[in-house]
Amino acid sequence: MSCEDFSIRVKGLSKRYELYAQPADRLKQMILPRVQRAVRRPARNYFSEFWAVRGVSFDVRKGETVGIVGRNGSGKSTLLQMICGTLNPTLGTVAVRGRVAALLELGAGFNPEFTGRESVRLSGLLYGLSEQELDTRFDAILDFAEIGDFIDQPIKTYSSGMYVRLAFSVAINVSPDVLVVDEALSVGDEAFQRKCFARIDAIRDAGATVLFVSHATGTVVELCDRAILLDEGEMIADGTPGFVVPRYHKLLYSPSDKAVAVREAIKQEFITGTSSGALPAIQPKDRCKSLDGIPETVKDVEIREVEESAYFDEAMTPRSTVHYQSRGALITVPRIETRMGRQVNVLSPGREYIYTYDVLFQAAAVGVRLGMMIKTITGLELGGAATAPNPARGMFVPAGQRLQARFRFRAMLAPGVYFMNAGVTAAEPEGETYLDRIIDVLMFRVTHDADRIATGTVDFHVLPDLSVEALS
Amino acid sequence: MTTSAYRLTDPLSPYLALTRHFALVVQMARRDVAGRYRGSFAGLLWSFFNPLLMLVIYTFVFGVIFKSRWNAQTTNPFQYAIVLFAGLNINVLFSECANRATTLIVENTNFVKRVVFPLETLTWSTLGSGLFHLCVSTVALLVISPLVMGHLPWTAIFFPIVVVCFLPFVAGTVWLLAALGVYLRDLKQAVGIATMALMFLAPILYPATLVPERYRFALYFNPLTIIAEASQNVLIWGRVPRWDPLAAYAAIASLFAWFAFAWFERTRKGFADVV
Repeated sequence: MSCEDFSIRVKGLSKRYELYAQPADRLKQMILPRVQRAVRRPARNYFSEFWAVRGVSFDVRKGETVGIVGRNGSGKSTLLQMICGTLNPTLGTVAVRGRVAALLELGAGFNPEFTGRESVRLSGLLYGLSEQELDTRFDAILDFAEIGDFIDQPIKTYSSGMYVRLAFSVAINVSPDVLVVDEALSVGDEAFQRKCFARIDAIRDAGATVLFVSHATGTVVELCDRAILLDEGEMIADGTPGFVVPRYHKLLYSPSDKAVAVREAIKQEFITGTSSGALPAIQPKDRCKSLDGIPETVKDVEIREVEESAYFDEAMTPRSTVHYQSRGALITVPRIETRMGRQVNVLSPGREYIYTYDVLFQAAAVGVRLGMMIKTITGLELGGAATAPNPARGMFVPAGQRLQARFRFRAMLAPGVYFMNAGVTAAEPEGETYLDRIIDVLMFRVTHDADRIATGTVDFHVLPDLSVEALS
Repeated sequence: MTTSAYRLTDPLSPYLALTRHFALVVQMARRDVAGRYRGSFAGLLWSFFNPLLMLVIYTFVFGVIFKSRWNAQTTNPFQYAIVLFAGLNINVLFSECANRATTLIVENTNFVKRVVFPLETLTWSTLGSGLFHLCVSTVALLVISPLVMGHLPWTAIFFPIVVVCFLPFVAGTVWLLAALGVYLRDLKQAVGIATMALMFLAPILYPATLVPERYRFALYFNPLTIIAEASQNVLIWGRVPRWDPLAAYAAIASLFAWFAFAWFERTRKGFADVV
């Protein structure tokens, strides 16, 4: 990372928020400690302190797209604000090369009393455009924002979607060298989001650096080359999104008593560098590519069931698996079997299979339900089931007990790749909680069927009928 | 980043804030002027009618009811109102800027927290919108004055110079109060009273000669006095301004502006902590 074509260089960045009981204390803090030192008295602080960001260092190369993830209050926004220059670091330095366009929170920097047109001009000037440049780009900005005649209305009359569309439109039309996007895009509708992502791609292809903060980790995985995990102001992981995002999830869903341990584990792993970037980025496209080699393995599979052409492909293991912090139960040996008990993961459409896993209960639990979910490659939940309709009808399981869940299902699916979840819930005083949960625990593929008449992802077993009516 | 974008040891730094971001200042000032009358039917015409209507009221109240005369030789009922107006315009520019200054930063939280905004230019755009209104009022005065006084003094061409001498003082006041107003929220009330006091304690409502000799020197500690008198001289009495006090005023005002600008730049890093 010592290469000189960095776009953002952050070194030992720390931010201490000084919390003042009243604004006047801030003024006292600026003057009185100096006076106290001058008269040889111990300097007094007039604030209580809070470190939002602690000693964060990283370089972002030109053209990189970096996602920043972390729980609420982990210091993401503070970090971005310091990179954008709206906030002064307490310690450390930030160096940014080129023009930074930021979408910090909603409708960054727009005064609600200004009309859209005024806001655009003002933002443009702030980004350092000249009046002429502004004039030439104004139409493009207006066009992208899709807000029509509202451009001459005060911003306060805008819907949140219009707000963000305009702000985003300005940010991307000032040809930024660094684009900072913070949560804002989640407001627009899907069509607009798609348009934005396409534009972000274009900006990135043009060599700009993109800094992206989102709770939608799917987007981070999809969009970013790299992810940084912040927690309690510290950078505890830095690597490919495929490496960082599962760790973030693990941290996010760990019970509060285990969170510290989980955090330390992630941090230790990061500091010692045992597995930094070891896991490649998971791109849906890559997943598909990895499956292309499957037909070759067909011949290795011994086909015992004549009518059953399903087989097992060892290469087909999901790399997006996220195992949540276990709370007293452990899911083991998840697999899909034929009715004859043979493990498979390349399934024939329309046939019946059994999805099964074992659960070992380390502690007794009540209201236990075991569940499953089938999802598409994009994460869309197609369907699943639980062993009981609600916790009240769940079962009691004593400590040390091992259960086996068996979900029989029919692969009424279009050819393609699907993912499975597994989860165990129990009734606890604070409500139903997961004792153990694995996202993308396994994947399977549904093979092609030349006689398939169903369209779309799910086969509803539609029975078409055509009758020919005689011409009168 | 923790340091100022300006070399604060440079006495010209306050004006660099204007020249560096000129387009922005103009845009903000224009918006400010337009924003005031947005949605109203007559729009910008109000900024012309406003001073005109005020003149009518002054004439009626002071000229007709009180029968006030600036000097005893005249019987013209319009004279007092016109002289009052010339001095009052100066006070309006100052008090409007000063009063807005106390909440200038607090009301633009977004500029502090959300974007990288050259906050120091807010002073210049505030001044810009104040100057616009001064211009309109002065035009109104120059239109009315020959109608009621019979002539338009040629010395009116010196008026811009008088205003330029005044500007560093107003700008300095805005920077000082804007930065202070972030930390001391009571400032708004105090400044309201202070600007009122400055108006009454300047030769705006009465000629300085009316003040007893031994108190008269005190008037000249009022930063409005020299400018108000100079405006009356050039706009009404047709006298060339006395340059020495004006030059001294401009020099002191520039020093003040420099100090106030440095103060603003030094304290601005704390804005984000408290707005």
